Amino acid sequence: MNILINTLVLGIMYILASLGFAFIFNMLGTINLAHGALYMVGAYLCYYLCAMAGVNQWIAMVIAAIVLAGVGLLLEKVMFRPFLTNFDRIVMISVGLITIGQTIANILTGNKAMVIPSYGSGLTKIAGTSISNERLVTFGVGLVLLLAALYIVNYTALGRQMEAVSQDRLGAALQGININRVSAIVCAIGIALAAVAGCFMGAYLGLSSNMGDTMNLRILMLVMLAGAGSMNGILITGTVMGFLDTIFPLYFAGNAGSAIPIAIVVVLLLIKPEGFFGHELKM
Amino acid sequence: MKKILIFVLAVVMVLSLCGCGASVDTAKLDEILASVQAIQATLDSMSAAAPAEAPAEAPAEAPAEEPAEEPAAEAPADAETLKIGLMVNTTGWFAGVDTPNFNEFNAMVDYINQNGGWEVGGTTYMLEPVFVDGQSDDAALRTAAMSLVDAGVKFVVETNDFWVFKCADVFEDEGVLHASAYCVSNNIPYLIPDNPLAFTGSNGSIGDLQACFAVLKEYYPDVHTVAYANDDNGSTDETYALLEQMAEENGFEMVGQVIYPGDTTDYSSYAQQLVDTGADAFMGNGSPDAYGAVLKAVRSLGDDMVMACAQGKPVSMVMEYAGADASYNGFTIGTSTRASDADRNTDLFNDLVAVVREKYGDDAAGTFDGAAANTLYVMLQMMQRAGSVDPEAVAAAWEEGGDVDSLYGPATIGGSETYGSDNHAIGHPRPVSIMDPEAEDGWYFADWIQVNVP
Amino acid sequence: MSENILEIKNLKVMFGKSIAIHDISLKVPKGGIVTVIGSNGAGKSTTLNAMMSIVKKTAGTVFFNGEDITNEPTQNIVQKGIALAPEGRHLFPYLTVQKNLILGATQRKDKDGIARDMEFVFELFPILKDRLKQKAGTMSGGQQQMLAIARALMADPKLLCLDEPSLGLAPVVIDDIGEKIREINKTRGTSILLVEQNVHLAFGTAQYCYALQVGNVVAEGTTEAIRSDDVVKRAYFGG
Repeated sequence: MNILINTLVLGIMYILASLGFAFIFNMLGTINLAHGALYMVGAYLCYYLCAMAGVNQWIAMVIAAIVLAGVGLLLEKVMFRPFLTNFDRIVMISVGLITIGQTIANILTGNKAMVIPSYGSGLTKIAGTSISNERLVTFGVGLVLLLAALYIVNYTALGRQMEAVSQDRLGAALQGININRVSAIVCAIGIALAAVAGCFMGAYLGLSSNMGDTMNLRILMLVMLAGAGSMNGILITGTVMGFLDTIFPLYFAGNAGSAIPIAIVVVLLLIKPEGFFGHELKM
Repeated sequence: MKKILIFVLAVVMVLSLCGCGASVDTAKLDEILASVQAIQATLDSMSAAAPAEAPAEAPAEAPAEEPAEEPAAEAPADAETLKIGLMVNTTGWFAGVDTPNFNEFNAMVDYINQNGGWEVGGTTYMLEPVFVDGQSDDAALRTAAMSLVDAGVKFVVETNDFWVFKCADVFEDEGVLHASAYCVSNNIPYLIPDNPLAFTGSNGSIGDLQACFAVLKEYYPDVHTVAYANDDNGSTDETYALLEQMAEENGFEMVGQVIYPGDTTDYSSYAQQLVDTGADAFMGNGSPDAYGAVLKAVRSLGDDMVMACAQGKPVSMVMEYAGADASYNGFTIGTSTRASDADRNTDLFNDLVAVVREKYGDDAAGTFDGAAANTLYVMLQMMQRAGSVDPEAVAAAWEEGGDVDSLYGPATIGGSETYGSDNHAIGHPRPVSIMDPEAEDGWYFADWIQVNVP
Repeated sequence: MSENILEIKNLKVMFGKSIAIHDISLKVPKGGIVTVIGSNGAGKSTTLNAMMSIVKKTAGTVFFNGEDITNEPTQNIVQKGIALAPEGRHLFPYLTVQKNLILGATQRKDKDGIARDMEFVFELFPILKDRLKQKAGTMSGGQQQMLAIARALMADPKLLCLDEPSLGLAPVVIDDIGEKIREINKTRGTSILLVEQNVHLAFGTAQYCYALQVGNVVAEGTTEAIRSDDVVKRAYFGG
């Protein structure tokens, strides 16, 4: 029972962290390598707002999300839009961003503990086991955001336009869709989501200069496993990742418990590199 | 050219993504960043689109990555200079741990020079620090070691043993006495007879675990069973065997071990295993962020087991990561630099904290641990005992054992049984900081506890 | 001027240093069907793409319904009433037929009008109604072409542009499409600009014809005239 609860909670946390990346990957057709770095920036920004300016952590999160949405707009304009057909340049700029972000984080992360104030306190008893309210809140928000994202993609005009843009840019332009506007919105949403995830994880685990890396790996795997173009698929692959990361530590101590799920996913991706739900699963 | 660059980038990315607890190779990325910036400049002129640049802000307490300053004190007319090397990682993933070492070592050097230098065998020496950054990378560390040798340095204080045992030969071959600020030295071949010039001025992680047992005995009479919780550092099985022995000697029983990976994003399953052992307490050398997360997860499961953290970091750091709700029933062997606790520390300790505070800021002072400074202090005393600044003579004096002074109070040289080397370590007092929701800041300083490292 | 729904004057398009279109001028009368023929590389598709602002115009003007749209972005041009079913169709392969059609009506707000046009499109191309929930990418070439035209119609355009609809289709399907084009023009009064390599389809539907060669108009006239023109004959019939 504990396993089930932890699977769900962890799965949603992973999905929350991946939502932004998945959004940009599926709707813009680009791998946003800098996602982990931006997620980290969101967390650091939130932390400094709380620690230096005494802002409430929820308000700080909203501010961080808005700021990073703005960054998303900027990135879309200067990075994704001009270079959409030139993947080389996107890679280079992303890596440049990552390095800058990491270096700054290294400088800022000094001697002290940097933890964003909790988003929930206390415990709740569920079905014979207890779970911290912090994780419940993260789960709740993650679930809401996931459902909102899926709703937008599947049932709104904006979502339809996003799908169109991602599947055929020329075709989309000829239907009167404002490609740049749609791309900009996708980026803004995607990177704002990264910030939100960063804030929650920054409260749950604290900040570190490599917090982006650890999450990045799982995000990448999760989205790749779901496949291109499938926002719906990440619901399943996220839960699977949550399950793997819950189960294996119980039976394999130490680094193996962390490495084996990764190995399994790699094998799965070798079997089906295009992912399992890409363009197949539609709700 | 572009294709090679992309390939290198891809390799770096894959490596960094697979980082087993290690982060991206900063040195390689610096090179790539330089190339990226060069290409970026070209792109800028071509497309007039400048990439977003994050503002570079460095807070006041970031340590300078250049050799530490020369002492500003007056030197007696017949003073000579004694070079002391400092080889730690101020950049890269280990910077968080080594930055305090950097700060505290330089504070010690300043302090000594400001107070007239250090007298050995009738000659007064002004200390000249020579700093090199290991960059949290084995290759860079080896290069750093070699550059110290080239600079004519005969005494080195260096970072943890698991870093430096790989380049110990650089110093051993050149007759340089090198002492690690902090030693785990379980099955790590640093403090072994093959390295006659390798020492440490610390209890080491084994000694700190010993301290934990002492604390449990004195402050937690209800604890009888203990579980070992630690990150996967490759020698946890050996440590566990040692713990079983130590536990028995101290009247406890080890009932299991839970080893977590260095880079996990979730500790729930590990906390569950800890709770399942049924132990009264969990103990280990975990870092504050990991132990805080474990503690938080354990408390989330509604369990009250005692946290015994054998890390010399302030308990407040663990509490930050664990959250206020979880911060009870536990301790670390961390120092207190609160003014209200100053009378519990030695004068030297307080003086050094003041120097660190002035030089590097309040945050640096707040996490004062003293490992590198203490190792330097012990090394200097051994020079006095030998009456010489010849590394071999100092090593011989060190091996004679006996009492020695430390930042933390009177200490004894030791380590033969624990680490398998002839008196190359010491057993010094360890502070005890206990979590208590009703105390000021949620914790109080209990005492200094004597630790023997046989 | 006001009897023409579209007037392109002295269009010039360059890609980098190479000139794709030297100088092209053409008109489409209101309610008429005009075709532009020419072999590969003549500049037919580029003309349409430049007109829609998909590619940049180096020089020239485009007037639609008396209004200068030379510098308008694509989405505005669509909104003003021109729809293009491009070469290669450019459908949304992983979306259903239904969603593809709905997207054709992106710029429209009149729900009733959209519903009516859906019905019209289903009558015109019954196969689309049958496969409403099928992913566009899984249909045959002919079906996809019909969907592309239908999607363009969903914008309720005053001018419908078709870029090489015959490409890759069997003759009998091409005939069917020719018939549908004439029907659209007759029942809705939509002006049509048909760019085609297949002269059979072009001459079978249009009243007026422009013949392009290497970025220039080399001949223009009624279909009858062009059919017997020596220049065109030599270029296309080897005569």
